[in-house]
Amino acid sequence: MSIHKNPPSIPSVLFEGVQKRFGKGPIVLDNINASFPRGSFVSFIGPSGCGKSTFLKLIAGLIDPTEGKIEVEGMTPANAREDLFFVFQDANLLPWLRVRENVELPMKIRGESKKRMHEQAEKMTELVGLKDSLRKYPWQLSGGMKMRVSIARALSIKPHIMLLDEPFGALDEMTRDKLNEDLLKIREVDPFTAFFVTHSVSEAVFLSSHIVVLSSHPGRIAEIIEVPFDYPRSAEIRESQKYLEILAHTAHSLRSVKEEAA
Amino acid sequence: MKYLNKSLAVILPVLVGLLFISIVYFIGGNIEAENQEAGLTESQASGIRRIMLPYPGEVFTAFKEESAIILNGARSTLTAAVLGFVSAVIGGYFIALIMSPSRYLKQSIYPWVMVLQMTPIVILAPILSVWLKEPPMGPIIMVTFLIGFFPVLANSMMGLTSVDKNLVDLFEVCSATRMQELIHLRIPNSVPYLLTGMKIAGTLAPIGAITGDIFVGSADADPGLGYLTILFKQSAKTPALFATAGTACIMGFLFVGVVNFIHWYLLKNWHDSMVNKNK
Ligand SMILES: Nc1ncnc2c1ncn2[C@@H]1O[C@H](COP(=O)(O)OP(=O)(O)OP(=O)(O)O)[C@@H](O)[C@H]1O
Ligand SMILES: [Mg+2]
Repeated sequence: MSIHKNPPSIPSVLFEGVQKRFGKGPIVLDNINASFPRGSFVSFIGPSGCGKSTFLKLIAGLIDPTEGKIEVEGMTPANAREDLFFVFQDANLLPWLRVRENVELPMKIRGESKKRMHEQAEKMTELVGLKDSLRKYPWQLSGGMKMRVSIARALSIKPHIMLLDEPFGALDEMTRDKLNEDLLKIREVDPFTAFFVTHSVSEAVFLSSHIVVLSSHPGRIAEIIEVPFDYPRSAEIRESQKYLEILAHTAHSLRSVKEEAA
Repeated sequence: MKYLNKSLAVILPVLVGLLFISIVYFIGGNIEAENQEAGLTESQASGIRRIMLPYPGEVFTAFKEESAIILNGARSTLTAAVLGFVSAVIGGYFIALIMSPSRYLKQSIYPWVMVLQMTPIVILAPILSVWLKEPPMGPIIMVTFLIGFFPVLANSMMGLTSVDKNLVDLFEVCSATRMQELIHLRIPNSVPYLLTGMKIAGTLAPIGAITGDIFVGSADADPGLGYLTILFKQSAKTPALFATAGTACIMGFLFVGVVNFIHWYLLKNWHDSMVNKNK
């Protein structure tokens, strides 16, 4: 699957000997070496506080590593912003803007034309199934709907890279499964490389091509599990033998890093 | 039940009002009786009582008799209050806008704002009247401005700076310029805070205008309600004094009403203070 204009030899995200600590605090992430090819769907899983959000913020260039080098599409994270968008944990919508204006905001900041903003907002809200709610304010939406708006907002600028920090963490399992399937469907229409933080093993296995299991104190990569199912994936793979094996393996790996942490 | 609750909201305050009025009549009756026992005639006694405690009817008559001068005073005071209030809102918000992005600007301006705030207005008023001779209303507007300025400034500062960290990150991910962040994030975020400041300033504005007038008002400079207060007191026209107080009170309600309307209008669609009501 070739989804990018740049040569495929450059990885989407590259970490070389990265270490991160905040001020004089303890080392949060240590000795991170990893390279994720374009088109992959990478999930991060690990004990609470192990540095998953920090990982995403490093990729987005919101914070800088203390040591080591990070490259995004062959550039420094700050220079790669144009190709990247962040879906934050709690939807992170502006409460004073309607759904339409919230979706249009990143395009507005980039100085897109009104016409294009309108078209994109309508297309993207349709994609996430919220076309009827364009005129609503965030407080009128359920948690799941807010997340969809947040995803539509991210999709509207067609990023090559999507960073998603526990986007479905606050949702019930049924809504979450549904949104997982929707997310993969959307990725078929507008492909992007995904970096996805989650606490749910089944979510990680269903969505990902790579699962990064992080240990904590300091956060290190304990294991990278590859999930060999092709995209598009259908809900049925959840019942296959192979899927269950990977699920068990991931759960085991997560349990050992948690025991280590305790 | 709902209907009962609503009518109670009217009936109870009215009952309290009636109780209050009957107490006025009761005390007034006592004053008259005591004075008559002390050997005064009935009309002398009621005259003294009127200076000490006028009955509602007498206040009303006084208002009708003095209506030209009281209404003119109200107009003058209202003008000063509105001008002072509007400049306090604009000035306070503007200074907050300038101070909010830079720690150094804040550090250099804020202490002086505090100095101004800590100096009692009643001492500043005469100083201002020495400086500002024209227009005659100048010092009064200035007093109103100084009273309303600080609550607007302090609240707006809070609103411009206390922005959700995640939203700031969102704007950074969008590569927004500082100007874009100000326009699309910090200013809208500050609106509810600004309105809180405006509510405080709005309650203080008529008081400021009247206080200013008491200290620097004069007969030849478009006298406001403050000056009338002094005038009526000197000529022992207590009923007119009450009528002036009533007028000032109504003006205060008017002011707060307008500010509340702006609050409702700007926040009705999205802010917690409004949307929780129409659940
Ligand atoms: N801005 C910051 N300043 C100081 N310490 C921070 C900061 N951000 C994160 N940390 C610390 O870094 C560690 C990792 O935080 P991070 O948010 O990345 O964890 P996480 O894996 O996302 O946890 P969770 O699953 O609970 O969201 C924590 O110990 C946290 O206290
Ligand atoms: Mg986190």
